[in-house]
Amino acid sequence: MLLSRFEQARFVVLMIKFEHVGLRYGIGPEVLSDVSFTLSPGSFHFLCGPSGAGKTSLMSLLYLGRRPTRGSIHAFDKNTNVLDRSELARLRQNIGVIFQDFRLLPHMSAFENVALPLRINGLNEKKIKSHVEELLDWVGLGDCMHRLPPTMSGGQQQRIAIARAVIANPKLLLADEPTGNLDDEIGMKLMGLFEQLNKMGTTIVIATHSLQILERLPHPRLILEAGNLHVFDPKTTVTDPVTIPSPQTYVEGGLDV
Amino acid sequence: MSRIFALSSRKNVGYDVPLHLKLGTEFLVLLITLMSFLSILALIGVVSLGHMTKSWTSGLENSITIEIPAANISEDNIKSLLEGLRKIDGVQQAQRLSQKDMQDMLSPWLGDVSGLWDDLPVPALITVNIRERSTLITSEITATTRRLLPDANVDAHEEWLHDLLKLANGLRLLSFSVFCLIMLVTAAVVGGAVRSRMAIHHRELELLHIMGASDSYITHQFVRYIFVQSLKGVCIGILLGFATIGTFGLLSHKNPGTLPDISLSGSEWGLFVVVPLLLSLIGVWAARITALRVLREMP
Repeated sequence: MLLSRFEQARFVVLMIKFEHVGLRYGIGPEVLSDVSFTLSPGSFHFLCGPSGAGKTSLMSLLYLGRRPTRGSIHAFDKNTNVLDRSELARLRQNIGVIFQDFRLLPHMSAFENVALPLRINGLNEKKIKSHVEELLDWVGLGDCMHRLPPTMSGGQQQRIAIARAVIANPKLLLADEPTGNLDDEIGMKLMGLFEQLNKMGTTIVIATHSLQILERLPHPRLILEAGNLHVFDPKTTVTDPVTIPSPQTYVEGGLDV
Repeated sequence: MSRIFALSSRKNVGYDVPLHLKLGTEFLVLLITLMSFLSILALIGVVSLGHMTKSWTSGLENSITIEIPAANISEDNIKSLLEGLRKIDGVQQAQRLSQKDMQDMLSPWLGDVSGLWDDLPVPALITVNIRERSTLITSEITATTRRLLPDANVDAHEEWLHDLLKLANGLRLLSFSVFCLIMLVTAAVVGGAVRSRMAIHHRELELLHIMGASDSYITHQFVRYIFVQSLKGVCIGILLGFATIGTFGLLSHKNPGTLPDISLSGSEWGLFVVVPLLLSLIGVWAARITALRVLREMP
């Protein structure tokens, strides 16, 4: 019998741990400097910061899309610095990613796009069909599952991207501006879905600049500024108010997240 | 290979990477067709040279010719020489070439010579068939001939047979080199095509990696694509090759003597199918090596 994501997550002691991580591209300056933080299993974090702060780079390290130039990253209790390519690929199967630009494959139908992670995981076609159809029905795209993404609206494409990210029941879900193309009401509904997944045990990191979301959901925030990371938890006492800016500082006033 | 067919059986999608889109690499089918056809031509060269060499050697290898100048022809001398030759151990047969055989031999160059035969200074020829060629038997035949008919000339065909075989073997080696070159060019071009498709679809490859696709999963996509393309090319190449062999055989049949005989045995026909398929496998191998190498360069 399959364990629920929550039950599986309990066995993972360490979801993600960054230790003094630095990242530079080629011989350029460090875009991330000495970043250290831990994501516990079943946690929910927002990732915020101004444009150019290194959010995209941090996200790419989180989904194990690149290796740090210094420091170490532990994911699912394993030190990723010493893993070979096939082991890294297996770890990535535990991570769902929602990109801001969706990154759907335009030559594949909605069904095929959502089915892709399951095919990569090696699930049989019968199970893939039932899982994908069920999920597409659930996100309201059951009647257009055989349409190609370019023929669909932005909102529909976003729902396909979300369905694709969650179909394989990931232990860690990363979302880059998932509410960017949605109105506030649907955006909050989507956040409700993420909260639901989080309650089932999925660890979630959402990069967002929505002040409304940040104010309504009191989850810890990973705030990036010029390659440095601060962790701010609204539920606990802020110990270093100088280094932790208010949401308005990193959301408003022209600062993109 | 089973993975290739498992992927092919998928109902709704061909490739995760849009390899089916025409992006200028369709020349692969044309290239494989051409390479298959060229490999068949090279094989025709090897096979027909093999046939020619075989016919030369089988006709001459176990025979020695003794030429008696026209001035020295005497039935008694010839008879005693034939008797002397037949006594040598290893000689199967020794006989004088008949007048008719001689006329048949000369007719391609001199036309019908039957009316002029008595006026022509034609030497007498004795064919000696031996069981197995060796230096001992050749020298024994030469010694016997020298003793009984000092003016007769012994031709063991060794010199020009050796030269002909050397030429034939050289040509066969050349054909084989051409064949190897075809294999190398195929591998290089397929590798280049795969590399270019991977550069075009870099974003899709990155996405598949992020979703947890292993290098071998992605490589299988390219291997399957190249397998399908090369199979198409090989089939067309084989058909063209067979058409060429048919035409060659027809021309050879209509003009005997002008073209070498390339009547093929069952195994040789099989070779003409297997070799282009081998070419296709080399393409698949090149695709696999290239794809894995490019993927390893990605983070």
